[in-house]
Amino acid sequence: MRITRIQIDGFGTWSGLALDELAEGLNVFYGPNEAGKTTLLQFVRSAFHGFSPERRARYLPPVHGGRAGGAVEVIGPDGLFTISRHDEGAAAGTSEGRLALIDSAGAACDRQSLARLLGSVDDAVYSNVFAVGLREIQELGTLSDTEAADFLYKLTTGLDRVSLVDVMRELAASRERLLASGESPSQIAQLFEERERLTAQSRELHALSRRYALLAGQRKESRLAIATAEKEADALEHSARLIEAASAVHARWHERRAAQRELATLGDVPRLAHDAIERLDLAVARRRKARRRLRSSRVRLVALKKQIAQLGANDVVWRQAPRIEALLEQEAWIATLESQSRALEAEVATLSEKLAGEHLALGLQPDSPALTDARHSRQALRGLQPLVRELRESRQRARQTDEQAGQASQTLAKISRDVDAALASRPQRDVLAAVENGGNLVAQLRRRVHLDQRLDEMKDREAELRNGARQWLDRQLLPSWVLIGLGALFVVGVVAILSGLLLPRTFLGPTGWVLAVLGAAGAGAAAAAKLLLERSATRHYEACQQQLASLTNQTDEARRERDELDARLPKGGGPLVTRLQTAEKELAALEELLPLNARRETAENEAKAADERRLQAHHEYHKLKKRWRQSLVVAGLAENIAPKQLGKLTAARKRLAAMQSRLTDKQQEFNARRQELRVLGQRVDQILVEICAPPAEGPLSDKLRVLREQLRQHTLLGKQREDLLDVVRRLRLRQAKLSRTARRWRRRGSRLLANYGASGPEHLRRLALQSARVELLVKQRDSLGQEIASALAPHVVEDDVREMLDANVKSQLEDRWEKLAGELQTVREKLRAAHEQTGRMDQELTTLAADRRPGEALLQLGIVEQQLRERIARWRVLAVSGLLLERIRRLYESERQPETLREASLYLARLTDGHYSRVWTPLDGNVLRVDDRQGNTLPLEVLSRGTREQLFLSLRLALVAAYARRGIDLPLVLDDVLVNFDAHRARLAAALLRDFAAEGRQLFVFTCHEHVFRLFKSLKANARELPPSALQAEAPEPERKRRTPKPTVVVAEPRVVEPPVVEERIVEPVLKIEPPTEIDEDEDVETVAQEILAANGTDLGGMSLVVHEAEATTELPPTNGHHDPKLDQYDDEPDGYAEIFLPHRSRTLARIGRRDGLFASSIWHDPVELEFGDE
Amino acid sequence: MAQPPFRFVHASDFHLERPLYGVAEAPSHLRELFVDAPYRAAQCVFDLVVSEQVEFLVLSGDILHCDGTGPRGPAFLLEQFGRLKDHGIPVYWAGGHVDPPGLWPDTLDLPDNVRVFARERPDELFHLRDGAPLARLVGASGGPRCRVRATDFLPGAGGLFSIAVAYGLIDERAWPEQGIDYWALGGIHRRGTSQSGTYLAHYPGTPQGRQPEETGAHGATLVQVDIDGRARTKLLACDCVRWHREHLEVDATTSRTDLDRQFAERIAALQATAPGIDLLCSWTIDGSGPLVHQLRHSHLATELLASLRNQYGAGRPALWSISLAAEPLSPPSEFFTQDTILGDLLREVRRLEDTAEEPLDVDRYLHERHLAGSIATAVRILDPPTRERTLREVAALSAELLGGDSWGGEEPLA
Repeated sequence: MRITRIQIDGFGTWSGLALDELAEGLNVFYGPNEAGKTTLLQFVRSAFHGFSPERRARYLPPVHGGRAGGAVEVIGPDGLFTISRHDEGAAAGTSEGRLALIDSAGAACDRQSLARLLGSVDDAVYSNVFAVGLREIQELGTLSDTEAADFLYKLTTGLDRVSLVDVMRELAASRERLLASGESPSQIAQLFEERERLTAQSRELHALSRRYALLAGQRKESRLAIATAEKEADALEHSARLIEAASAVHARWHERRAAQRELATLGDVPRLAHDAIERLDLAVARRRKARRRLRSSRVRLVALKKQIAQLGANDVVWRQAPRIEALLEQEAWIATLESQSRALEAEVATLSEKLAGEHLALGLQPDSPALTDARHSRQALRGLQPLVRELRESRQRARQTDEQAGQASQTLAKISRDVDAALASRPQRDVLAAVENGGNLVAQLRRRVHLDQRLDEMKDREAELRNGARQWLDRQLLPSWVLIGLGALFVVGVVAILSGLLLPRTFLGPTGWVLAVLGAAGAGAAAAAKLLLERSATRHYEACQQQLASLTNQTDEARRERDELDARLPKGGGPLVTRLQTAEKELAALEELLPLNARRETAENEAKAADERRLQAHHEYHKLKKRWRQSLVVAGLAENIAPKQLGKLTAARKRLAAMQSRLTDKQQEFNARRQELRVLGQRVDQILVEICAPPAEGPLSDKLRVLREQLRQHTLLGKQREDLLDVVRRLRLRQAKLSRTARRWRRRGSRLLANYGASGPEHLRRLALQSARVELLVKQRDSLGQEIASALAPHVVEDDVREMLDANVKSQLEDRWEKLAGELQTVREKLRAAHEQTGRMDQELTTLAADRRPGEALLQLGIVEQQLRERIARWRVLAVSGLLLERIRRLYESERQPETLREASLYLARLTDGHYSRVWTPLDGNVLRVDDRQGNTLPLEVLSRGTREQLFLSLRLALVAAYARRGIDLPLVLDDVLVNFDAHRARLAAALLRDFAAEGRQLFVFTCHEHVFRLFKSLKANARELPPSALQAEAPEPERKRRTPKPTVVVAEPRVVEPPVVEERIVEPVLKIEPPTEIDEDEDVETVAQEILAANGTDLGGMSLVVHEAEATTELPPTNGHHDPKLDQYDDEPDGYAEIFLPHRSRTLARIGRRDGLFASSIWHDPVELEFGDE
Repeated sequence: MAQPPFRFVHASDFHLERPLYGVAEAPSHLRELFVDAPYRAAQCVFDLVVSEQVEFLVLSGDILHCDGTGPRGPAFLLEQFGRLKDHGIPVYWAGGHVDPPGLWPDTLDLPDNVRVFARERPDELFHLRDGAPLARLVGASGGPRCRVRATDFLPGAGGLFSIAVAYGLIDERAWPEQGIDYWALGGIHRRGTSQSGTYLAHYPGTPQGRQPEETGAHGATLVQVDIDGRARTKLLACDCVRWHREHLEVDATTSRTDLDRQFAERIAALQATAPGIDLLCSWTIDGSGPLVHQLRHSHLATELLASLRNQYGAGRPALWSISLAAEPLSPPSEFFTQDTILGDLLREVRRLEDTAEEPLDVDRYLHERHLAGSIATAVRILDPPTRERTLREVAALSAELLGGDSWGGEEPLA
């Protein structure tokens, strides 16, 4: 990429600067201090990479106002581009600014195109390699030796955004913290130890489970032992209890045994009840009494049977009595039936008459079907309703179309009248025809007027052409003065020819042939001019003649057309223009009638359409009326029923249907009543015939009265007979009861004897005596048994002690009890001990079960393992990153760095005139070494500042070359980088830079030194002075003579430091001033500065103290006397100045100026260091 | 014959021996919960068995490792089994990897309502209701890395609802052909069901998620068998701590206030879904922009995490934020083509990704005393997933370290 033009609209002190015609190779710009060279350098940086905060703070807004920013025109592989960047609009205040990249076609390009142009080189790389200022040079100078070596080393190993060395160092440190490669403690190792400790602890805690299981087993065994002992104790207790019980019942046990023995002696005696004998006597007596009463009832029964036989009775009536009674129960119902029948008959008649009247009222014919017929059902009548609606709508439509047709006719008539009135004064009856005629007339008249004008113009034109033709004809003969002139020239030419050819060489000398040639040229020119002038006049004359002929034809044509129009136009009417105006007015009037005519045509169409719609509507209405009549016939209704009546019919249909239904119901009810009466009458007649009653005529109620009388007589006889039969039944029941009683008492006596096995009453009485004795013995035995059971209860039963009581006497029992009590005491002691042991086990088991330590240990182990996982994963990433970066580093060290250093060595050798021949780096360290001519290897620490800056420049040039080989070819900008070179080395550097540029690289060198400028000019470089900036234009011209380097030592006791090896004249610090420890905000800076100097014993000598307060940044620019334009106001006093930065007032800067051309600079480190020296 | 309807609870993988893990720290006020969570979840399962009044409880493996839990585990189980015995609820238990039948201490007698299946071959038994068979169970205990051989579980006769109880992975093709209505399986911590016709194979999962990967609700399964012999499963959530992995999206315009609001909204939503339950949440911030840059390069992530823990994690129920990190960004493709150290390095990473056989020799960074020990084994990169993940993170780290301001955090270009 090459810069072809730089345009600064406003940046720092520059406004409206334009640098054109920039060479593709070396460009040298000279400008004194404050000329704006560094500003120009910073502008190039800004144009490419934006307004960084530092640049913005220093250079924006422009000192002299105006549009902030500018443009750089560059040419790259893809053609010409303009990079424009301004601090304005929405992008104002951003580092990006408003960026525009415009190609040669004027099209805007994206930021990727800019990145491609710049070879993806970012601001940091560009500022460190390609656009290097004094600041970068001096920064290096200000670094300590080790830092400088490190910086240079990084520069050669990788000019990337971030230092490879730093990254690797950072990775290694992080990795070491995680897992040290040496003996030092690290996180992963500690975590491993912690994990092992926790794992061991967890394993130890597993013993708890085994202990728990063991304890559980022991508890189980213990519980089994307790159970066994408890059983043993229970057995002993039981035995003792048995012995105690046996002793208590010993006497009663033996009494009961005696009673049992007597019972055995008595044998098997039936047990008689105590009242058995009394029950036997009672049975015999009751049986005898029942037999007596049975005999007396049999006599009375015979007498009653005779009395019943003497009563008479009608059996037929007796048989029919239920039917008669049933009929009589319906007597009231029959009377009701008769009265209902009569009332229904009258109601039926009334409803029939009313129904006939309704039919007539609805206009139905007498012979019409009843409205309530099926055909006239609600659905049928509802089916007619749509037709009624259609009829109504059709009639409505017909009326509407009648009205619309009437309105359309009226509208048409009105518009027609208007049109006719408008055309009344004109011959045409049709507006369109009138407009067309009027239009034609106007067109013809316009054409006629136009022809007149055109004829006039052609006449004028003809006159002009004839005039011109005459002039050109005249010019065919050249004017006399022309002819004389040309003739004179021709004659002179001929004379010259002849003279040149004919006169002797001695007369004309060696110029004779020249005279001949000039003469020939003059003669030829004269002849040619005459010929050309004549031919030109002829051509113009012929052209005029041709135009005249053409114009004549056009005139004839126009006249012919005018005559034709005159023939077609009506005669009279005045001048043509007047006629045209009249015709135009008439046409305008007719055109105004066109909308009215259009309205009439529309009205005609509408009237016609409305009439058609009217006819259509009427036709449809008649068709619907016909359908209505047909539908009435189909519905069984009279044809003359109007649609309006359908509503009444529908409304009446429901009412008539109800009436008809009611009539039908009444008729059916009446028939039913009559049928019921007929059936009942037949049944009554049949009964009367069957009971042979006298025949009865008349209504059914009279026949019922006869039946009731017959039944009443029969009922009286029947009641008497029933009474007697009732007595007979009771007697028979009594006889049966008495008979059963006699039999029952006989069976009881027999059963009593049989129960006891007695053959007769006597035998039974003997058995009763034996039974009483047995009962007494049993009672005695049972009583003793109960006493024994009570004494043994509740834990002992007789069977338990039977053997013991049968076999032992009481004293033996007491001995056995004593023995058992002793054994029981022993067992209980054992049991208590076992329970205590089990309780302890339970307690321990409960404690173990509640132990949370295994869970907590596992939780902690999980936490440690997770931490371990995370750190191992991180370590792996760091380790692999380190591996890869080492590979990259080796690649750079083995391939790229040596190549760069080799090239840098060549440049360094040229810059130092071969004094230093090689720069190199060992593979195992980030240090640089320099070999001198004698082959001595020197560390950087021993190099002077100037040499280090030469080395620095060499490395930059080598890096630029390396980038170029990688396809990144950017312009190199160097700002005052030769300032610390002596004259010899400056010359060498200039030659190197020239040759470097000649290899096809664009190079900009800014210098404030005239001798450097002259040096480059002497090398034929494109060197020029920068135009004065606005600031310079305003400032008085500095007196350069005063800057003649005449060093004067102005400080007391200068401390001279000998450079170690380099024999160069360098600026060395001569004074160190301890910074003030505390400065108040409101303290005067000048006073402070004087105090500082005084406190350090510094005599200003020829220096004047000029204090200027300025805003200082954390990166104060190193000062060499020409950085701060604001100091120019003190230009009368100082030639240079020193600066004291007051660190406790970070925004304050004191500058100490002096007169005598001493160069001063300061560095902002503690302690404040003033450096004075000669330039 | 119609199947009498009944219900039972199926649970597995209690892992009483394993507290919560996968976290790099445990706050003091939640430490007890981290230890007790498996017991609380198991307690909840037994409570539900009693409250739901089911017919029986089926346990399909990995209930506890008796040594790992210490005495607490067996004591807890014996107490709970005793409770079920008091309510007349049998337990059918197939052992798994950590609880094969032989590991249960002989000295600890299980109650007679607990039936443990043998390990050699499936046992068959019938569950009775009022003396009549209600369901047929065929079960076998498993072992380490056990696979369930479905063909060993033979179908029953008589149309009785049959349940296979087993531990381990099952052959997906074989089990539907065995004619067993319900496969009660265990050994997988995430709940899952396979269905083939009316047959179901079901893993109820662990009742308590143990690590950040085991997100969502966990519990036991209530199985309801209807009159047609069809089984339906229903989750009974029992976990007392629930894990979540949440992602938040940010872009170049997202501010810290916006991010705080996103946190508040998401946390409110999480708490609403699980009221009364302690939540453990891992946060990942996705996207790009200055905020992501700050999260990766400054202490913002630490500050945010501390703020979330103070604001939402101090009380109970707590929402404790386990971690908070920005998702590492993959370097843009143009970085790979740069002629810079970064470009060279990224190309080297890509080459290593493509040549999996080339070892990543990290031993050179190990001290000699570590080379033969467990540390070397732990840090070596041997398996492909670790290698892939490491290289991906190396690329991201390199881009961060070497990419400078052009990577990740700069203001968006105008």
